[in-house]
Amino acid sequence: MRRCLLLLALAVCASAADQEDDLDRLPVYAPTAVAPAALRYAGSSTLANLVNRAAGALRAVQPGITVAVEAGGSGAAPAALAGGADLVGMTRAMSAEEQAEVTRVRGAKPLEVVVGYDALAVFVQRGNPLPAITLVQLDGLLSAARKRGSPPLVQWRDLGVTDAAWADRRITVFGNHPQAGGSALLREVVTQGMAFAAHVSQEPVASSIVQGVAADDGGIGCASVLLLTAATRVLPVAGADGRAVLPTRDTCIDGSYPLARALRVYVVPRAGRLDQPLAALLRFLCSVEAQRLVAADGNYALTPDLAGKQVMAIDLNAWTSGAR
Amino acid sequence: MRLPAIICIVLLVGCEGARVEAPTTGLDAGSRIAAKELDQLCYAFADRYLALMASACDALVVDETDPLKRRAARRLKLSGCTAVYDIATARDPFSKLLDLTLVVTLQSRVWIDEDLAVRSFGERGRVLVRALRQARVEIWQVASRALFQPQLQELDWLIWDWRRRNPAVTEIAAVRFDEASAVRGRALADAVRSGGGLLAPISDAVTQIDESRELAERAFFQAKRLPMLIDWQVQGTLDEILLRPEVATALTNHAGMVQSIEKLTAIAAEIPAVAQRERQAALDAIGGQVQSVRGLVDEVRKAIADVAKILADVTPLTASGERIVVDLRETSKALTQTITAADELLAKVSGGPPAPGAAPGKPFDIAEYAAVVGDLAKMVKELNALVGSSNNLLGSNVLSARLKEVNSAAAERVDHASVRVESVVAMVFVRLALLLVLGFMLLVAYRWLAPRLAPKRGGA
Repeated sequence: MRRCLLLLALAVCASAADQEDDLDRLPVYAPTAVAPAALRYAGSSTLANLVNRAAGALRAVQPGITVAVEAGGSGAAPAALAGGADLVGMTRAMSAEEQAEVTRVRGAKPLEVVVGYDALAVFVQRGNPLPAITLVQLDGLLSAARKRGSPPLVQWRDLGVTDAAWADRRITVFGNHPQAGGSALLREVVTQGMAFAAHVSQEPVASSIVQGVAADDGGIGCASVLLLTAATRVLPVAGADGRAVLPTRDTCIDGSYPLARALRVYVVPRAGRLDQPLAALLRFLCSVEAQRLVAADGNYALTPDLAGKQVMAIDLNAWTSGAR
Repeated sequence: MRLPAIICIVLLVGCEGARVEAPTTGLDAGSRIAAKELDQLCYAFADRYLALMASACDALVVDETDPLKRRAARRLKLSGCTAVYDIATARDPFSKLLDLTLVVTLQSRVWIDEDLAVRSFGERGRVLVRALRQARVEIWQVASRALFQPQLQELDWLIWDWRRRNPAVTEIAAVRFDEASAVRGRALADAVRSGGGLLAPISDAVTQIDESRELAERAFFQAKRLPMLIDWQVQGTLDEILLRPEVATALTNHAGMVQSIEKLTAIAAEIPAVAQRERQAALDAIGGQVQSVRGLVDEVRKAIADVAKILADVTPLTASGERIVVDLRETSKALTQTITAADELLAKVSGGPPAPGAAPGKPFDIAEYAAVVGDLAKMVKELNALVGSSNNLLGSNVLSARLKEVNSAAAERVDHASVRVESVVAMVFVRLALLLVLGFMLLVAYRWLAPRLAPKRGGA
């Protein structure tokens, strides 16, 4: 058992180390001569923070490009794009109907650019014997409505723990601030849009969740996997297929880890071509400079391969339009 | 010059974030907490921190036998509280908040997340975990009064990232935002600076405060707590002195010497008693063996006496047997004579042809016939009586039982004597072996102690 837990921890740490190595192999942004432009972003608040900070960093090397950011959530993004926003952020894929509506209004199909992966790990204290957790159980812990049908989960025995030292302990659930990106992901993937239960302790910042788990014998909480500490460990999470999966960059990118999602930006080439400033911003989002910001937020950055594909798609649209 | 820039940068991040997300505290930029209120919150937190840390560290010191652990606990209390009061009495309330948040968060990260509390103090370290966790929760509550959610996240990430890049820094209490030495968070300051600069509304507000009044207030706050800090400092200094290598070596040597002398004295005092005990044990063992041998000899004597007695019982029986044999021989002889006579008589009666040349026999006389028959009947009668007497003697149960008893007693005595002899021999050998080992050990102990004892006596 201990050996398994150690291997799991090593796998998670190795994944973080891989990301650090890969960041150095991402494309470096090369400034180009572009006309000044004031762009407008709308949509996901998770991506809004990234776009906002990336725009600030871009100004340092590419003066003249400014971005006005309006966070309205992923649900408002298609309408905003159809309404004229230069780029929108979504933490889910735009549906075919939404794309059709944007295409109808804007006269061109939206282009999707993946700029990172958002993932949450489930933390418990290092000595906790729970081997894995399911989405239904997470819903039972976090949600006020328990829409997935979980019974109330009060003690660790309710999660299947039989160890005498743990079974009778009360579960203390540490959650993030409702406005934090992690909370949005949990609401989307786990609680199916329902609000968090009153017993969930709302920590002001993500690292406080992990520390709360470390300091509380019955603690459990969700935060970025990068915040793993010596006093805690990460639980594999089982999705609909029942297979318990650890959060690594690979399992997040291939979609097998349930608490992960791609961070997508959608743009519409104007009259069939990408504007130069917009193309510059998108390239910058895929560059090592912006991807460091992605990693700094506790998310998974693009792999060099994925970043190359995104840049190729951007360039292709830019070449087609002669914007380069 | 660095401090306003840092504040501006942090606020910049927050202000930009404010455009994308609503403030979590319900306060907008205009109604954010006043500098004076933030100042008072920092003072209050400093006292609260002292209470938490003093309780936890004092609990760790109580009943702790390890001086290193006692020193570590006192040092943590002193360094943490000194740093927090140092920060709390600084001029700018926002820099106080950042520094307090930084120091307390880093401390909790090191002692809780990196498991130093439990690694240093074992399960007793849980009291420190609880105190630091509580301190962290409270300082972030103060921070959330002054910072928007994105600002809090940014600050959290900066602290996390600084520690990730400076994992070996142990003097956490000395780390500050506004100083860029190797120990005091150069990387953290660099990270904050990378966000650019912007206005600092709280810093502007600070200029509106009566600086002289605030200076006096800070001095008063510090002065009231100074004696306690000095007391802790003295205690810490004492700990440091006692644990300095030279002092520790001297104390160790002294303690070791005393311990050696005590040990030697105890051993020396023990030697006569041990020797006496062993000698007595040996004598007792030998005495026991003598008793055993005596007992054995007695047993053998008894066995011999029993055998003699049995033999004495057997002798008459043998004599009877011999007499019977003699009687039998005589009876047999008489019987032979009678049979011969009967043969002669029968020969006469049957009248067989006489031998050639034999003289003419005596004519048949009925009186001789009757006499021979009478003799023959008498002999048969005697023979029957003798046979009956012999049968009675050989089939006697008394004789069988007595013979069995004699055999059994003799075998038992012999077996018992054999076992006792073996036991006595084995015990004698074991005792002798133990005596040899003990003697050897005493010799070795003497050889080991003698050279050590001699120089110390000389030195003393």
